This record gives sequence, C-alpha cells and structure tokens, in this order.
Amino acid sequence: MKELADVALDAAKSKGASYCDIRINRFRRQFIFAREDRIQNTVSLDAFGFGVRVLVDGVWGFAAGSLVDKDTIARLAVVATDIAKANKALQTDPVILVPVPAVNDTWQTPVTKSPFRVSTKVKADLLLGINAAAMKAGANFVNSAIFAVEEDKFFASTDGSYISQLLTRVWPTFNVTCVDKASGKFKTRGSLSTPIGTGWEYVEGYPLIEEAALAAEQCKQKLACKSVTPGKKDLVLSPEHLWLTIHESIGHPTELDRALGYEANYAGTSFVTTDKLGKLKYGANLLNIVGDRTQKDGLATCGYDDDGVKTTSFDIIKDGTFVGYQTIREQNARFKALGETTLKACSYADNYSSVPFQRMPNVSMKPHDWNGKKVGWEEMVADVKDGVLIEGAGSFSIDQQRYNFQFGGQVFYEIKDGKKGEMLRDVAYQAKTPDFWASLDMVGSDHYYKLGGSFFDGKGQPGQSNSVSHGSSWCRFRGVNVINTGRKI
Amino acid sequence: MSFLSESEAKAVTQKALSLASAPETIVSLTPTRAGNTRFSRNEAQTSGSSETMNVVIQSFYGLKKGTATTDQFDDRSLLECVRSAEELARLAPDNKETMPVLGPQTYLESRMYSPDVEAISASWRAKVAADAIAGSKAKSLIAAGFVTNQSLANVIATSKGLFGYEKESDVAYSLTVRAQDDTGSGWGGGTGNRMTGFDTGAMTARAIDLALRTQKPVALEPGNYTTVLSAECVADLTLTMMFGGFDARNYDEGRSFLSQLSKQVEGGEKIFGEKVNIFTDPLHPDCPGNVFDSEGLPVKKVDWIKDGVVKTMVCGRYWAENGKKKRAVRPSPANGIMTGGTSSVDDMVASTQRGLIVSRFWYIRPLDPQTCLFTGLTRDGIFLIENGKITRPVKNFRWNETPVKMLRNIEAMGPSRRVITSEQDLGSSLYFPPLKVTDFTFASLSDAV
Repeated sequence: MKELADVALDAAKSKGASYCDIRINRFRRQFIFAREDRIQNTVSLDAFGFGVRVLVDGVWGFAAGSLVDKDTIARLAVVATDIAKANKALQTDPVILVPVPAVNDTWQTPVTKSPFRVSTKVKADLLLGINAAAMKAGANFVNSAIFAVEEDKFFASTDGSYISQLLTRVWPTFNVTCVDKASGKFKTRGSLSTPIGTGWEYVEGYPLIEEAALAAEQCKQKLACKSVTPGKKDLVLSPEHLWLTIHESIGHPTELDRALGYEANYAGTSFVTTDKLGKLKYGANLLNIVGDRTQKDGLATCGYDDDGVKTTSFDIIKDGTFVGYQTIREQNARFKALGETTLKACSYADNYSSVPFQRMPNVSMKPHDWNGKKVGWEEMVADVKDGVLIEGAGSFSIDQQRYNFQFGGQVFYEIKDGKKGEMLRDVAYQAKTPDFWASLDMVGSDHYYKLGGSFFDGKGQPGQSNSVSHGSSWCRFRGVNVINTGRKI
Repeated sequence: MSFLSESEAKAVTQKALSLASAPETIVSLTPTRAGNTRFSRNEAQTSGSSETMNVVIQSFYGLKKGTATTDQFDDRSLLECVRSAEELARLAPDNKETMPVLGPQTYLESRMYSPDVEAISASWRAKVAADAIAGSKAKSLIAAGFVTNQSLANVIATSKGLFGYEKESDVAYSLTVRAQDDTGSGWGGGTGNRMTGFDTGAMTARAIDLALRTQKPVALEPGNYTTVLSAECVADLTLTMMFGGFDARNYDEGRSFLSQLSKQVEGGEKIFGEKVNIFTDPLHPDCPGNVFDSEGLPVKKVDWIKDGVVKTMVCGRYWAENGKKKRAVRPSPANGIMTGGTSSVDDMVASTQRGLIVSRFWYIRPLDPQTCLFTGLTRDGIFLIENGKITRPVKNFRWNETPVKMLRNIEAMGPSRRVITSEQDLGSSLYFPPLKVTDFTFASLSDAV
C-alpha cells in the first residue's frame, strides 16, 4: 500500500502540488432484506479503489479510480493537479493547512464479533424470527433488514503520515404494518433498535424478537387509539426519539462549513452564525452537548479522520451556551480569527471516489448528575398536567437554516395530571430551535443514557452519506406546540 | 479506464456469465466517468473527477437468490464476485416470490446520451462557476453552486440470452445566490441529457434576480392561500405521491393512500383534477428516460393518471401474476411528465386577488402516508400577490399538505418544462408545469432565509 501511495504523492508533487493525500479503501457492505416469511435478497457490496486529493497554489483538486495500479494512480494524480489548476482563477483565498504531526499508526473499531464472520444463515434466521414474532402478534406485514459495513481504509499524505484503519458498523431493524380493511386505514411501527459502531454483539444483546411482538401490539393500538388534541403541551422524550432532534437542530447547525456558507446551495446555512460563538444562549442551562469521534460504540468513531487528524472530544454547548463548532483541518488557518484553533477531526469521505469534507462527529447530550439517583420518564411525567410522551423517531423536517423543525415519532402516550395514559395518534411537534431547547427543564440520569443514530445522513454535492450517533437520556420540555396530522382525502 | 463500448461490455458480461455455475445469473455493469466543480463564498470549494466501474452479479438457485457487487472487472475479481453471489444464494432460504430471469427483450432506441455532455471539461465547469461568481459579485451578492456531469452505460445480460446496453449522459447545474447581510436568497438550476437548451446563463440570472427581490421579507400569518407554485414545486410534491403510493401491491395490501379510495379507483372515477395527466415516456425529446429497468424489463410509454383518473400503477412481475388480480407488469417510472397548460405565470399572478407565489420547496418528508400528507418548507423566493401584482417578499413558511389536494385544486396550469428536484442533482427526469392552486396549507412561519 505504501508503495502505491508514494506513486500518487510523488506524481502530485512533481506537478506542483504543495500537499497531496491518497486514500486506498475497500468498503464492504452486506445487506439482508426479509419480508414476512421469506428472505428477499442477500447483498454483498465490495467497493475498492483510490482517491487522490491535491493542493496546488491553495486550490483543491481530486481524482479517483477503481483500477488500483501504479500507472492509473500516477495518471489520476496528474488529473487531480490539472483540475486544481483549472479552478485557480476561481480561488481568491488560498487553502492553507495547519501543520499536523506525521503519523504511522493503525486503529480499528473495538469489536467482539465482526458481523462479517456471522453466517448468512444466522442472519436470515434472525430476520425470519423477527418477522414470525410480529406476524404472530397480529401484524399484517413486516419488513426486516440487517445492514453491516466494514471500512478498510489506508491513508497517506505528504505530511509523512501512513494510517490504516478498520471501521465496523451494524444495524438490525424492522418495520411492522397493520391494516384496518374496514376503514381503509393503516399504521406502521418501526423498531427502536439503533445502528451502532460495534460488532454483532449488539445484535445478540438487543431483544429484537420481543420488540417485534410488542411493535405489532402497539401498531394495532395505533389504529384504534384517539387522535391528539393540538395545542401547547409538555413533552417527555425518550433517547430513541431525541437523537434525531439533536441531530437536526444541534448537530447540523453547529457545523462550521454550514455557518460559513459552504453548504448554501444544498443543505443550507445555519442560524448559528460565527458572531454567536461563545455568546449564543442555545438552550437551558441543563443543556450540555459534546462532539466526540472517540465515543464508545459511536457510528462516527475512528482513530483518525480523512484529513489524517487524530480524533478527539470537544464541547459544542456548555451550560446552555454555544461554545464550539465542529471543524476540519483547513478551517483552522483560514478562520483563525474565529478562535477555532483546536483540531477537531471532522473530515470524512463515504467512498474512495468521494472528496473528504466536513461531516458530523457523534454529537451527544450529557445526562444530568442526580447524585446516583435514577431519573427517567416516570420522574418527569409526575410533574406534567397536559403532555405527550414520545418513543422512537418518525417524521422529520427542518428548514435550511435550522430554525423551524417538525418531528413525529413511533408511539405516543397522553400524559394527564402526572400520569402516563392512553396511546395517541396523529402527533407531531413543531418549534423554533432556540425556543425548544430553552424549554428543556429536566434531563434524566446516566442510567437511561442511550445512543441513537443515522446510518445514512446525507450532505454535500455530490451527495455523500455519513453514519453518526447521538446519545441522551430522557428529557422533558415545557409548552411545545403539538399539531394534529390527521387528514381526510 | 476507458468507457466501455457495447462490444466491450458484451465481452465482460459474457465472461462473467461463463464463470457462473448457478442455474440462472444476471450480470449488470455501470462504467461511469464523472466530474464536478463545487463553489461557495464566491470561490472554488472542491472539484473532482472519477472513473468507476460497478459490477453486480445476481445468482439464482431455483427460488434462492444472492447478489454481490465489485468495482473491478478483471477476470479474478469477476470470478470472486460470481462466487460470492452464488454462495449467498445457496445459503439463502427459498423465496417463493423469486421470478425466473428474463430472456431476450426488445428495447426502444434510447435518447439518454449525447456526446456534447461527455465532452464537458473541468475548464467548462470552471467557466460556469466563474460567470456565476462574477454576476453575483457585480450585484454585491454571494454565490454557491455545483456543476456536474457524468457519462455512463447501463448494461445488463442474463444467462437466458438477454443483453441490454444503453449509454447515458447527464449534466446538472444549481446555484444559490444570497445577500451579504443574509436577508435574501435566490436559486436557479436545471438538468439535461444534452447541451442543447441547457442554458446555465438563464439559470444564473434567475438565481441573481431572486436574491435581489427576496431581500428584507415581511412576516405573513400562516394559513391557507391561493398559491402559484413553480414547476419545481409541483414536481417535488407530485413525485412524493408517486413513490410507494402508486404501487399496485401496496394498493392491494391496503397500504397506499389510494387504498381507501379503491371504489373510485376501480370505478374509473376522477381522483385528481380533470386536467391532470401524468405519464412516463422514455422517448420524450426534452426529458428522456431509461429504456430498460434493473431487471431488464423494457420501459415504454405508460399513462399513470389520465384526465384525473388513475390508469395504472407500478407492478412487479410476481405481483402481476400472483396478486389479488391479474395485472400488467409495469416497471417503475423512468421519467415523470405532467401535461402542461397555456397560462403563463404572469397570467396566474394577474388573476390572483390575494395569494402567494413560491419558487422552491425544501426538506419534504412524509407526515402520514395514509393520507399522502407531507411537510416541507418554502425556500429561495416566496412573494405576496395583491390585486394581480407581486407586491413584496414574505418570510418562508412550513407547509403541511397533500399532493392529492394540490392536484384537485388547480385553477391554472402553465407550460411544462424540465426541472430538477430539491434534493437531487443528476438524474432528475421530470417535466412539470407551474400551477395556480387554491387553499394550499402553510402551517407555520420559518425565520430561515
């Protein structure tokens, strides 16, 4: 690998590149899909190739290929420098990279049992077991799937770094549907399991069969339960729900590239403009948010990012105040005046053929220290007169500056006079990001802390997919606008 | 890697098929050359090119199926990929819905490729970006955009003698121009399969014009408004309805929004407004589509909605033979075309006493699939119409609405044109009209610009 990498580094330097890196990656993905009593497909995806990135006169160029031989690498390294030169007239502020130490290292996701060492039969039997449990409990339809990913990554740069990493992720999931033929109505209930940055041990430890039966029962209830009365209500939100709200309303707006306008043409910018760093009251004092690519089991966890920078943990929101962006290496020198001088290692490319750019680290909410006391939804509900308890993530939508959001969920329960009551349907809540986080008035203890996350978080042009985790405990919010999504057509 | 000619592609597929020991095999190839230039903050951001090959092997042992892919197509890699697919298939349980692979098919002559798109260079992309930046700077605005092109071949072959080869070229451009003080934003963009009519200058001009006109918007009360929707908005919202909702199996199983309207559907009654005609036509001159699907099924012209009546739905081979009733096999739409009308957008505005005109939607997600209810936001241009004239920019809204209602409440319809969807660059084969509709539901205000 080193020999191949050096071909690219030498070719780029000989064509005037001040910096060059090459990633030679093999990404393996295995997906198995099941429906009711049958396996629909087992898919093994193998992507192998290289991507060369160069800086010529402070302008980026990039080229990638799937033929990994010295001639192709040398040729495409030159193509990358040509592209950088073609764009020179467009660049007014040259890219400058702050120095990083040369690293020769290896890193791999701590895994007890790689999902790629588990047989297809075991996986298929698990999915068929999930489906059988759901059908037995009354589901009309059920789809289930297992996703497993292994990123075997080699990185080399003209900084003198040579880094090998092996990253593993896995996600078992299902979705149950119940149909009321008399009324023509149907409802779904998705699994509360999460994609996670670990091995098959997560799948073995998660009660998928039991949850499938519960999901079918709850799905039937969703068809018959009462429709929510809209209005201002208190919300008690589970970690399996809250991860998505954290992702959309805190994770994305605190990306520095969005705040600076790099994503203006696609995902959008951010209401967290650079003048707000260290000043913006993002939410209640209870709100403490950390960016962390070293977090145990995190989907974005790794040893080094795709700029070759060592990963770390950093505060984003401290005691309710916004204190730090997510950043990548090239931003440290260009935007030094902002005071973002710590290397935070948030660069990622989703394939060898993709350009590395800023992606979200694991962004999680710290649980509250209750001096060892267990505090979860029951303690929160006790002080709610009129509210809704939400489990699981559902519908989601947020504007291009991350102000106005609207979220649904998987199951909803009425809270009346301090008690969790009957199930509700047609629930979504809509809020403005700072107002919502200001209404946070109770954060649960670490006993209930869980990771949720996204296997496929989209960003960039051309679009790339990132995997990212978000942890939290149960939380309570006061006076949030709850809407009724029921309609007739 | 050079682009594979038809004969070269055939040789690779034959090689892969010769390595197979499974009774039935499908080989698919997608050799692709792509390039892009991304810019923001009035300067270059990232640019790149790639040469990739995707090989997909699907192996079948009776009712057992396995799929494997690789990026390599040397003999050893092909053999490993074939063996991997066959191992997965042998280990898989029987799936009673597995259908036999297809034999030779007859395809329409594709219109998806044009050599002028394949000839696009990094310099051409840089020129488009430079013009956008220069035009924006001249008006003290900030540009962020993306120019991209790809040339590829869709290749499929089966152990029963099917062979399909279709060259495709795509170009796309999108530009967001914002005011320096963040009070206004405009967008322009488009996509095509050939350079004729692909007018990046007009797209840039549209974005700059909207960025100037949207500045310092006023807040309006949320509510239901008569609304003039751009062709992009109409395509975005209609497309959400066509995915899943227009699936024959979902419909038969009771999990399509059309299921509860089954009496009207089966009776041939109008579900949408009588002027609503939506169809697929791979040979549309300005908006062509692929001529075969991933199974190798031929794609032909088909009416999905005619005069407001649901004519047919997407239906796979298994369900066509074994569903609730016998149906024709209908591959997924290769493109989406809605017949337009003759009203200009100016006519629509002039005939509106009080309403809104919207240039773009954003972040559309389902709220309730049962009623085809979606939520999303306006972006990059929403204006108040008073007494037949556009009077002022207004703040963005979140809307909660169903395309079923939108397509029932049409008051006027403009000429259709090729459009790009809000979250996609290459590959949008959509041809839709602007519409004036009544009673569109804007649910809450957004402070986003």
